[in-house]
Amino acid sequence: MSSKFNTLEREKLFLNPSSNKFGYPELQKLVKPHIDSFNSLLDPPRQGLLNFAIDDIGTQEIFDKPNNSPERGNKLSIWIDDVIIAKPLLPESVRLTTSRQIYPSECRERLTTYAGKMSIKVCWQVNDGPVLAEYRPVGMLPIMVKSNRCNLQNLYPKQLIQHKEESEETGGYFIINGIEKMIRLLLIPRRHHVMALARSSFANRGANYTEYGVQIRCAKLDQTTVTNTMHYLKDGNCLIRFTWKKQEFMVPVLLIMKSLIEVTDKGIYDMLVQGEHLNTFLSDRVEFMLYNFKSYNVQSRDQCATLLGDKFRVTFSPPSYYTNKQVGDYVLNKVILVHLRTNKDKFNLLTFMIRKLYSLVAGECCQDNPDSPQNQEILLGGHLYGMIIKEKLSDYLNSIRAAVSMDVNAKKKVDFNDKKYMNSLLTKNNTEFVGQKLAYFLATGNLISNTGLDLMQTTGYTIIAEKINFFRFISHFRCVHRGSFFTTLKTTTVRKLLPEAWGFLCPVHTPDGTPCGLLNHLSHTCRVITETVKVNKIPEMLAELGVSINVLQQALSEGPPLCVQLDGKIIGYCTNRQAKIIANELRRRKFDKTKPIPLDLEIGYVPPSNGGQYPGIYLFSTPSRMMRPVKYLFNNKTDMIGSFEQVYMDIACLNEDIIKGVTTHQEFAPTNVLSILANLTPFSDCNQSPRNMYQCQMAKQTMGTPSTSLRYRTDNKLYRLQTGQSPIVRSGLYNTLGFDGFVSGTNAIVAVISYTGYDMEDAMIINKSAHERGFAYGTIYKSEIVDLNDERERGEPIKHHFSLGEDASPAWREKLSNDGLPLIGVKLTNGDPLCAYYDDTTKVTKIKKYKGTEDAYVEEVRLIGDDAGKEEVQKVHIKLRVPRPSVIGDKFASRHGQKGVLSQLYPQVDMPFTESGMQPDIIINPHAFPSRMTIGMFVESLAGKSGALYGVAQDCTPFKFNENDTAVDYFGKQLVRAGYNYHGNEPMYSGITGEEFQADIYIGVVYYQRLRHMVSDKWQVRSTGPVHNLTMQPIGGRKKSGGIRFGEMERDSLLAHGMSFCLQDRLMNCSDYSQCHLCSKCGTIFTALISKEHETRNDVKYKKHHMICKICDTSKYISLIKIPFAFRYLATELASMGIKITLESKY
Amino acid sequence: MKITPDTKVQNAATFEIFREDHTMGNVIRHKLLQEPQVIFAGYKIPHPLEHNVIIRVQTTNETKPEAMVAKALNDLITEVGYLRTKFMVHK
Amino acid sequence: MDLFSPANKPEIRIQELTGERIRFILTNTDLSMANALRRIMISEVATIAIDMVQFDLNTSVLADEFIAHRLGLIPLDSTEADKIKYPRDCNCSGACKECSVELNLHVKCTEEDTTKDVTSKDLVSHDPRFTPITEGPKDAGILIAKLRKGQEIKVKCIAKKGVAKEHAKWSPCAAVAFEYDPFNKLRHTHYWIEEDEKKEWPQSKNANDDFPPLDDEIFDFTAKPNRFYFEIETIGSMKPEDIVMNAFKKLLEKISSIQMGLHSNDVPINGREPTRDVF
Repeated sequence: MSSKFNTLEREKLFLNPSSNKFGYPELQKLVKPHIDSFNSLLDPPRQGLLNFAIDDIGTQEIFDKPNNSPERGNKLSIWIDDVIIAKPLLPESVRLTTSRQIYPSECRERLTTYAGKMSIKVCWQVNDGPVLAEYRPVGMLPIMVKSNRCNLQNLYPKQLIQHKEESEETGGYFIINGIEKMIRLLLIPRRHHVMALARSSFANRGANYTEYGVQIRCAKLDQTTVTNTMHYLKDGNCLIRFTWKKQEFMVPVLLIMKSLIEVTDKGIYDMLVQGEHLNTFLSDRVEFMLYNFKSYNVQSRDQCATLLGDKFRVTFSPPSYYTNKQVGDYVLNKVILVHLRTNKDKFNLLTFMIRKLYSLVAGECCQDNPDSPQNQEILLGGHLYGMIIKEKLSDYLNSIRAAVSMDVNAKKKVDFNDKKYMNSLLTKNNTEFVGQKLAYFLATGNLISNTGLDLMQTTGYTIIAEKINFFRFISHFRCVHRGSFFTTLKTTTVRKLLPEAWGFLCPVHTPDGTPCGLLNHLSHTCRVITETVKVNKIPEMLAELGVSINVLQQALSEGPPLCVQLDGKIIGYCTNRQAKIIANELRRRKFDKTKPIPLDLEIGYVPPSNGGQYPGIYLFSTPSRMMRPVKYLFNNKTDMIGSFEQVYMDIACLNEDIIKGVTTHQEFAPTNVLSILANLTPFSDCNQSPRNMYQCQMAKQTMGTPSTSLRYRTDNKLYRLQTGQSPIVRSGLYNTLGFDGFVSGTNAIVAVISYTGYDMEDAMIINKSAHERGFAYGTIYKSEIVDLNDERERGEPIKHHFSLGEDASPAWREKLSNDGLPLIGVKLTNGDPLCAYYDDTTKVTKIKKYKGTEDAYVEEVRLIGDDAGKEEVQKVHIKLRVPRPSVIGDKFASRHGQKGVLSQLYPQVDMPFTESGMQPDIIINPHAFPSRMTIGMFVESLAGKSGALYGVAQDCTPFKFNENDTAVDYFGKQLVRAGYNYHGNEPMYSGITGEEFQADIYIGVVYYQRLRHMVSDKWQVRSTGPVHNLTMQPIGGRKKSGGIRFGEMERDSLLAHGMSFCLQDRLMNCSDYSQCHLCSKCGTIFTALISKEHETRNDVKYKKHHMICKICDTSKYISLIKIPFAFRYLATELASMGIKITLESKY
Repeated sequence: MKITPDTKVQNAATFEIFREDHTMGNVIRHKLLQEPQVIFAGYKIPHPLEHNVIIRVQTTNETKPEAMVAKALNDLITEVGYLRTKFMVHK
Repeated sequence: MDLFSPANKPEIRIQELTGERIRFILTNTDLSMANALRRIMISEVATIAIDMVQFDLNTSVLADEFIAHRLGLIPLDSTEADKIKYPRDCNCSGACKECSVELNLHVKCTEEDTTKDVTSKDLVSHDPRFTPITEGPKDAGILIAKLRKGQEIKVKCIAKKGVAKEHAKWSPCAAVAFEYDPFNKLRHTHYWIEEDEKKEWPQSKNANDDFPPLDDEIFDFTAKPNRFYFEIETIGSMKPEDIVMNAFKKLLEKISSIQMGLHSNDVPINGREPTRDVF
């Protein structure tokens, strides 16, 4: 059960980084979905997503005559033939360089964007003339680090280190203005699966609508999707709903079906009823629907398509010469079941949808749960990126068309054969249009789109991949969000942890609070498929196994036939008996050497049930699905299973769960269902579950080792633990992923004892001597950026130069050197010069001041030149180091969701000690345990103690022990052998008197994390200070040295205590105390004015200042009163509305 | 050191020793309690951030707190001195 | 109580004495005395440690304050720490020979492929009495930092005398083991047992030097602890026996200074007669 520290192996990895393999390959796999999805944009060559996208965009046909004119004029066909994305390289204008490559570290350090030049090949043809082509640059496209367009692709630790990266750099993010940004994974409805839904919003669509509907999300080859929904109307009719450019349209399903293929009413009836003549619910409705459709008075396919085309000509704006029928086909092609190629397939799937819908309405099948991972897949960053690029490219062609039609309407000369004119058309756009738009998308996370991309949100697509510590960083890449739409939902059903999520989404690792259950994390074994699986042989194979497209051949005596679908395409039908055999056979053939089926094919066999999910065999081969490895008990090999099929499979967790003849699969390890962070919690199986959730949150907030290439990082704020240690108690995954390179805590001697009272209420006492020896010593690195370009107008010549002129004061020279930049290692306090520059126009040296409240040391100064490397330096990046030794009020936590604040640095001599003279580093209160039940922490303490005694690392992977072989016994025996108490207790003595305590104390070694919440960032104090200039009340906010609101409830408590003086002091004197004059006769506070009359006394003129009421014309009743300024303000506001406030005064 | 006689109780006083901690407080208190004339002896450190010890002593009428403290200190010196020589001999 | 009646005579018996540790038994004294000794050894035996570091050059990867902290924790030979004054007792304004020792560290790495270790051996002391400790010529010294080619550290350190009460770097001992009553005859503690005491509670090694209880021994509730087992491990700055000696000395000094304080209070307080009948 003991683990390994692997100190020497790690040392070797550091000293001799490999140039052909990673030290921790598992770490690389975690980020793979991100990188692979980006890679698939242009990989394999000519078959990347962008290639499919430009195929789908197709050709724009533009005419040089107005739309309504009788003649067509010349036709210009224009299309994009190719997309090229280059690796990030220096522009050609830069000459003085040996290597043109730009590496991510340079972008991070220079605060620029890591982008490669993107260009497209635009082809055009005038009428039937020759095809002309031109390559056009479309801007600098941000490139994902370590993707196939990144210069770090295929580099290994040795080269990565040479390029100033982490030795185990994972990539998967973009660099925008020096900030690491990544595209969030989103849970979206599973594609190519007809989902039965019942939503009240469906019923609210109109008079005849019901809540029932079926929905399918169809994806094209380029991963863009179109969702088709079929609504059930009260009269039994079905309507198809689709969205085009954010507008919704409803079409009777029969119109669509009839315009897809030439089919008779009888044919449709037979297809829909499928021999179930006794099912009158079905046949009645089909009959009615067919009867009802007569009113449209269209019969043939041509008629139907023409009708469709006529209705949609305006919205779809196809080329004007299209006939209505062509428009109809165009519509069918663009929006109806776009994942299917042939109309026959579309027709077949529509029949299936209708049958499923009727079945749902009849109550024969249940709704599908859209919140269940069974019916979900993942929107990968790369795919989303591709969708946006596609839209921008299609916008480009549209804009050319718009430009021509504008010219035509303006009666300008339009000549497609004129090179100059063509050139003006092609360059009409901003030349950077794609690059800029995507950089904006990554920087803000806002999606600007005119189609909406079939997604539910417009914001929140990207996040900063924060490097607070490595746990947080890596968790970003495993985190999946349900979509920001669901955060606003009042119901909590979407947030529920469903059994279907088992093995795919971690049940532990979700934050509590607003995003609870919406922000999930993939289990560490869960993979997201990024490559398209080859399935062209499957239909053949299915036919071999007895699947037939013809329903009527089936023996209907065996119950209704089951539909077999592959990626939403109906392959055929079979009986239930056959279906079971087919499903098993397919799975077996995954391991068949002669006729292999891809491992990543999902074989979802839904058996017929009484009111359960709609039965059938659903095969999925498309990317974006969640899959995970389990052991196939048939041959003990690794099988990949998907979230759809898992629901109907028999998978055992432990050996004792196996039921002979039923169980087909088994988990490799019970911990496979946990996310990375949940896996790292020691003995989490012994803890109460919410504590494990808290720990997952806290692990992401610890001060640790954010990076091993700290010198090349320019993050705004970096937290670093200077005295981190490798944990004695660690789980298997900790070693597998090499987290020892990024330690985030300290092995502390922890005594559980109520001592001195300073450990009450989750406070903890730290040994002062341990603190002085460097326990939990942390550092913060902060960035200050000085950009002299901000000081001048754009285009003006440079007139500010970093330097220290003759006129600089000697005080500045202590901190700055002659170049105007701070000396490395110099200490800066508030107000000190951060850097100095000389102004050519005024001939003075000016400084930028350091404005932080804390003392900081200059760690690095980085000169940032311009892109071309020609101009004088105008921008510097100064990295400051703020030492943060732990102080009273800082937050610490063990790895069990047990957080506490440091309440006292207690002298070593006063701390209790054991007989061997050990004194704890940390004292925590025993009351922290009974209600929280973090038994795992006790076990960790035992394990840590024995590990420390024997000098070994202890394995704390959960579920390794059981009731018969307990962890306590295992470690207890080790302790007894080392001469310690079996239970981990030790007699302890009071450090103060030397007396032995009445009870023995639980003392052991627990790994403690220092959290990033520190008092230095939080303290707030104010006596007097800035006030709001309207109300004269103190302002709020720590930064502005404001106060903390003393609100109504606080006021109530003072009232209840009878503390009237205190109340007066807080709410009046220290707040908006003011004095004003009141005329008690008229009771107003505005009428008292200074009278400026002069008085003569003894022949001397005196200016006489006294207050006089303008209304009462006397100063007799005027008195000076104290009132809150806010009251005066209220009185003024009321007065401005013509409302008078009268004060009654008693004196 | 600051000595404050108790205003209410006869033969009682508090001794505030500056810059000392439990080490001296405890050992003096202990020695005082061994004396039959001492009715009460106790010490405290008023606050962990204040580095002073307060010893409170009450004696019988036969003697004065100051005297008893002085005796305790004397005894201590003798005992420590003795131990020290013992240690030196053994070494 | 008569201290010098043979039965009550305090006694020290040294069990073991090596270069780094001492074990002894203190008998016939009381708990407060034993604990005072323990506390003084940990926190009030004066040693020498680097207290101020002036950085002339630091191009290593470690921050100035981090190196300064590491330097502070390096044990310096403090055998003759009493020959030097506490900074607060010295008349000088900053640091002088009377109250401080200067040490210099200047290391530059010129090696091409390997890193250079900066260790406590590179510290050059101006006073041969106060040098970083070493364990013979084979000792590589205590690692301070590692330098790669071109990196350099040049610092001036001022070592001062101090006690661990102020900062842990002045502590001469690593741990002080302290035990009395290994058989729990006084019943001060209450062993927590689930099944079998003998199985769950291994005996401490001091039990060999104590008298095991008889099976039918009657509990003497008036008994007081009077056998104290000590074990002190030094961090190297001082010999273990010196730690004990210095602790006794310090204890004496402390008592005498309180005595002095008491005497200086022999002036009328609140108009009352001073207590003249003390001696």
